[in-house]
Amino acid sequence: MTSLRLTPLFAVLFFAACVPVDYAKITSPAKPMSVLGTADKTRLTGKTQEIEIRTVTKGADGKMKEVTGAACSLTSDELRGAVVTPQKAIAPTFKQRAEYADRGLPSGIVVDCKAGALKGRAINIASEKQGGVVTGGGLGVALVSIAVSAAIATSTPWDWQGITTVELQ
Amino acid sequence: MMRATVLIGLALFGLAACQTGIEPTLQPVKAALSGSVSQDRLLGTQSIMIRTYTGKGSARAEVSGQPCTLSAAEFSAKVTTPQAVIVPTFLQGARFANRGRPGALTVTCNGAATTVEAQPTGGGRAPVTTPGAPGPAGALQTTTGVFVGNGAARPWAYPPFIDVALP
Repeated sequence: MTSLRLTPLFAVLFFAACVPVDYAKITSPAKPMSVLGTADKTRLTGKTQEIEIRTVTKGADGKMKEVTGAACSLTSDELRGAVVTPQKAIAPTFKQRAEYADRGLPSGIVVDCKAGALKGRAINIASEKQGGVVTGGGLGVALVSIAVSAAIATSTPWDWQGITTVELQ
Repeated sequence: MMRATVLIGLALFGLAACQTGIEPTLQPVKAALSGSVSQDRLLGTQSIMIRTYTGKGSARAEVSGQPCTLSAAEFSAKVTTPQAVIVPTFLQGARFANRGRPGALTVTCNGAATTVEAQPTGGGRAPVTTPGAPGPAGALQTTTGVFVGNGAARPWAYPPFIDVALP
């Protein structure tokens, strides 16, 4: 039994994987997000990552179609931003370090979009980048693998999802 | 080989048995939000199946038609078992009190109650053993552990199944 309904988070994956939508070409320039004054600036890597924001809605035929021109606000504990879909937001990336609470993981970016009477919400949660996998046999190799993983975990910034799709209802 | 196949078959049968129960005849109900809950805290919904049981061990048996109330600080609902309830999931963040974690959910059926805590979806806190620390193990682990992966940013949700043992 499906216990969790499709939250916006999972809907992003669902739409990306299963429902082909003819996306419009992005013509607006990417828009930088701002870092709140309350955020610990030492957590920032100094680098950024683009997040594509798109909005869709279910048409009368039951198929998903893109909605353009939706006004979206982007909110997290550390960041603020606004885009008009389809548009890319430029998000700062955060260091992943053991000395930070929760290893420096930023809070999820909540994307609230509105187009006329339609509105929706989704979230973009940063995750660990997939590191290389060391394969082989023996305890020595296993220890090397752990060491490599640890190095990746502490040196690789948290990775935002590249696209956030918001379903409007 | 044959033995392994039989064992796997039995394991699958056992797994299937764990998942079965009385077929719900009532549609899921939607929980009513408390008036004081900010919409800013909400993200999507989840379904929780409520079931009631009597007896213990081999005498344990599910019973249907039991009226139950669900109560958390943020919402409430009434169901008649077995029935699913749709409740909101909650955003997690430092900008919310208690990182947005909703209150404990208590399900009360005929005087018997089960209480569950919300955890980040798809993860939680890894158990941390604190020698000599008092209190129930579960409660201790959820307050002292470290988040797994990106659990510290994932929305809060309750367990998808809640069983209530009737007296």
